[in-house]
This record gives sequence, C-alpha cells and structure tokens, in this order.
Amino acid sequence: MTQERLLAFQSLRPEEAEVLAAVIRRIVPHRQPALQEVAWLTALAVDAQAVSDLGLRALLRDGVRDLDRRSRDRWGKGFAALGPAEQDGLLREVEDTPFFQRLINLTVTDFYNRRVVWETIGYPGLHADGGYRDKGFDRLEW
Amino acid sequence: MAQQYRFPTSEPVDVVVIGTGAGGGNVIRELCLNGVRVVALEAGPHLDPEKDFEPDEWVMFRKMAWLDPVEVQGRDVTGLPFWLCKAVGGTTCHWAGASLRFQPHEWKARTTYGDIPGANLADWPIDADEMRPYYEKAERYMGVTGRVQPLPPPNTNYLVMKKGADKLGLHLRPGHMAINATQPYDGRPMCEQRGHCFQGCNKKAMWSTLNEAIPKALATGYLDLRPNCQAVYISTNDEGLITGVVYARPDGVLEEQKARVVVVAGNSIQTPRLLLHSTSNRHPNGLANSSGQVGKNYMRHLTASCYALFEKPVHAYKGITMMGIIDDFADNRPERGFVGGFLIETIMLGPAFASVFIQPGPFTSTADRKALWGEALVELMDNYTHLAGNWIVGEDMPQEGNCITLHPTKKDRFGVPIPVVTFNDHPNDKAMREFAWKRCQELWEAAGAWKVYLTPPYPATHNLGTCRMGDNPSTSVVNRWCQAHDVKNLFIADGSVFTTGAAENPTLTISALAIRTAEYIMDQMAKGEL
Repeated sequence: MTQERLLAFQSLRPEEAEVLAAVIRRIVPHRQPALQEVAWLTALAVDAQAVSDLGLRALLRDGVRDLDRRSRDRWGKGFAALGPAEQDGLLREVEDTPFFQRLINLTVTDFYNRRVVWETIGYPGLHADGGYRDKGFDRLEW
Repeated sequence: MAQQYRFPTSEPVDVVVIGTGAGGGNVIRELCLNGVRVVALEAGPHLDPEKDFEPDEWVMFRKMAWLDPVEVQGRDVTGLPFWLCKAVGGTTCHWAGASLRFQPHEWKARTTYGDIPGANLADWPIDADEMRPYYEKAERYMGVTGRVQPLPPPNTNYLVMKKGADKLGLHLRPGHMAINATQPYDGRPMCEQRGHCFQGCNKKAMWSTLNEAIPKALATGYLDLRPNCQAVYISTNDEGLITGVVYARPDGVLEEQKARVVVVAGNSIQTPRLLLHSTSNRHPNGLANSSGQVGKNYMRHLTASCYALFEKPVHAYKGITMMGIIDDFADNRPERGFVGGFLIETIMLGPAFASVFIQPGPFTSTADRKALWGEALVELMDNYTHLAGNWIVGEDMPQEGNCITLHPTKKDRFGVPIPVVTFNDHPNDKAMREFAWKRCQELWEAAGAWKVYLTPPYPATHNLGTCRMGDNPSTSVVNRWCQAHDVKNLFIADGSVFTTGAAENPTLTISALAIRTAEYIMDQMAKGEL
C-alpha cells in the first residue's frame, strides 16, 4: 500500500488508516484480485462514515491504535506489517469488542452490496431485466 | 398554511384509520367500497413500486423500515428488535406472500395446550367456522395460490430442499402465496421470478395493500389518504368516547382530525404505544387499558433459519423467495417436547443480507452472537451460488412480561415517548427452536449439504399480541369484533389483537379479521350504534 493512497482517508491519519485497511482485508480475505481492491474501497467508505459520526470516529481510532499497540508489544512491528496468521490471532483476541463487531458489520454491509463483488461471486443481481422466469429459476442441474 | 384535504379536519369524518398495512388497508378498502368516508393517516411515504422499489437490500431497508428510536430489554431481543415498514402498504411492502389459515385447534390454544407454566395462554373467542368466509374473501382479494390461482412452480431452492424432504419422508409442497405466480390476476401482472420479494415487488405481482386495497379505495373518492402523517394522540370526550386524532403533518405541525370512529392499525409496537400515550381523565392508564393488558403478551413467532452449502450450484436467489412449505411439524404433538407447531418454508437472502444475517453479530442479533468474519465468511460468500435456505416459523408462547411499554424519559420529535420492547424466550420457544433446527439440519444433510448454518432469528417481522382479543374486559383489550371493550368507537385492526400467535404467517389472518371488523363497523353505523 503506497503512502499516497493512505492520504485519501478523511477521518483517520495515514498510520491509522493503514491498520484499518489491514483489518478490513482480514474480515473479507477473498483471494480474487478484484475483491482485494474492493476491500480498499470499503475501508474508504467506513472512514467516510466516521467524518460525521464522531462516536464511530473515536471507536475506530481507539480500536486500531489498540491493535497496533498489541502488535508492537507482541511482534515488534505494526499490525499492517504482520502476516495473515498473526493478524488473525490478534483479531481473535479483540473479537468480542464493540470495535471489532461494529467494524465487521460496517465492512460486510458495504462490501457485499457492491456489484463488482456480486459479479465475482457469480450473483447476477438484477442486471437481467425481466427476472429469472426464462433464466433458470426452475432449473436445477443436478 | 392550510392543507387541501378531501375531508375537512374540523368536521367528524366517518372513520379515521391509522396505518395502511395489512390491517388498515383491508379496513380502508371495505369501508370505501361501501361509501364510508375515510381519512387514512400513514406515518410513512407513498412509494411508487415502479420508480421507488430498487433491487438493493439495504436501500429498501432504509426506505421502508421503521427506524425511529426504540429501546430493548431482555435476553432475546436485539438493538434491531423488529423489521416493520413505515410506508403506505405497511409491512405488506416487505412480506414474502405466505397466506396460510390457522389450523382449527390454534384458535383454542389454552384448551388444546393446557396450562403451560409461565405462558399466558387463552382461547380466541372466535373459531375456524366463524373465520372461514372472511379467509375466503381475503384470499380472493389477495389472489392466494392454491385457493383462487394455480400453485407456484418450484424454484431451485425448493428442488434442493425436495431432495432432502423426499429422503426423510417429509412433505414439501408449493404453498398458499399471495403472488400471481402463473398468471395475471385482478389487473396485476404475472410474477417474473425476480426473487426480490422482500425489497418490495416492483411489478406488483405480489399482493400488498399498496398495490391492491389502497388504489381501489382511492378510486371510490371516499378515501383521503395522508402519507407522512404520524398519529400522536387520540382525543376523547367526557364520556370517554373518541372525538378525533391529533397527528403530525409532513411539515411537523400538529393538527387534529375529528372522527366518529377510529381504527388503529399501526402494528403491535406502535398501536399499544399510541394507546398508552393517549391518557385522559377517563382513561388514566391509556386508552382502552382498564384491563392493564395494552402492550402485554407481545409475541413475534418462534423463528430461526437454516442455510446449507452444496457441492453443486443452486442459485436459490432466483424465483419467489418463499414458495415451498413443509407442514409435517405444524400439528400439536407434545411428545416432541413442546406444545404448538411450526412450518419450514423456503427462503433466501441476497449477498448483502446473507453476509450479515446468516451468522449475525450483536448488532442485528442477541448480545451473545459473534458475526462471521475472515476465512469462515469467505467460505460462505464464495459459495453463495451454492447456498440453499429455509425459514422456521412456529407458535411462540404469550407471556405477560413480554411487552411494549413507554420509555419514562425519551421522546420522539413529536413528543411521544419512544417504545421499549421487552422480550425473553419461553422454555417452550427454546425447545421448539432446537427441535426445528435439528430437523432442518437433517433435511439439508439428506439433500447432500456439506455445511449447515443454524441461523438465529432475524429482527421480528411477525409482531403480534399487545392488545389481545377476548370476551372478558378484565383480561383482554378488544372484543370478538376487534372493538375496544372500554371505548365503543375504537377498533384495532392489526396483529396486536392476536390472542395467541398460531404457527402460520399472520398476514392472511390479519386481513381476514380486518375485513370482518370493517363489516361490523358498517353494521353498527347502520344501526346508529356508532
């Protein structure tokens, strides 16, 4: 992740944004390249919500700082620099916190309501006008 | 600035109906078709299905759901306790169309189930014979499949569930749905199998009062429909009779509509809230609340879901969301470990809702839940096209402690105290849910599933009780005609009159009761009683 991209965040400072993006990436760790890019868009969308929602802003800030502190104490480097297994280990430690449960909710609500995600996982949405009456609603191939 | 209304606010209109959902909409249609002048107060907007119903789960949730402040108490209720619609058409804009009659014994729950500790069971004062003609009338209006239209064709979700049902000897069948599944009906077109039933049917192939009852009533010239107008207080005179309804206009200004008769149909949360707030010298504990039962015995059906992943594609999001039903467990067999029955119905969510609700976290479910994330979430969502699902809906036990009350200090922007929803499962509810989950797990495994998710209740859509019907004025709120025991020109026409919940999806019964109530109101008006 380049420093320049991190400057696009409005609520979080670049070093906080980097952690937030890394956490969101672990909430939706799809391997399809297109979806890794979407996780970044979702991080920006979550950050944008915290512009006007000051309670959310505080929750996110405190949450990512806490994670980063845990990471430095445990591994001697920031959360964003850890491998996936180490990141998941730390996230499991904070799984029950309002920060993480709220962030899961914000992340999946945004991420899975994007057309690029639908297309990648094979859900056609309603691009096809006229419904599925002639498009296989009653055809099971097995 | 004075509003331009069909009927003036200062002269008593024949009937004010508060709410335009299944209950209010049916009352309005019946009254207007017979020349009764009606003012309908609807808190939400009048949406145009073709223009406003978008194929986006979250957008439609935000457009239609009641999102006003509410507080909760109890183990089994969440920060998002119910999912009701605030729009012309009410929750019939969001429902799935299941239109099932009660089984005869369910009208007599107390007699059939006996004395269940902790449950406040009672028999309805009416029965299956009394309700049959009203069910039939409602089914004709709604175009219910298997009654007045052909049954819906199976979709892929059904076909997968059928594999399991056949192996286990269970009976999965196309259900009674208020959807034009195979043909146009009553001027509305045939279903296109879009699968977006919950987001509002933009083709009007699924019945709603928005698409059927309200347009018919408007065409008579006897309906003055006022959307974005929220009722805040029901006024009474020295004799305790209703004289009018104070409501907030779209611009927030309060005004009063005078009325001869008022029908409250605001759903099981907002109806008791309005009655409890409408205190006066004659009604110190709230309107129609001499029994103290307004807001009590809140029910929301025993619900849960079960989703399953398969090796091969299912594409269960295609077609009518809820079209197949297993009724093998709908009867009362206490040897199962609980009284009352449940149904298993096909269901599917779009990816946006599937990711949130199949394994929900504390924001949309109870505090002890953890939301799915990481590799487990990816496993589910990468296999979204291979997912099948069903919904469990059964009878829950009425409990006096499950209730809607007014918040002691917090008020909405019109000065009405916000509702507090208190809910705890009864042991019978828990036993039924565990049993039903096991049957569904067996069902999907028999169909070949490699993974099964046991999904806890969604925010409640079947909100029932809180103004229960009965013959005894000291233990119930309305009589057998849905008329308040205490106030003869007050009627209630929504799920709040339910004495007990039965296992079936409630919209058809709410509609049939509303039609019957409208008939009674007109009879009483003709006799000079109202």
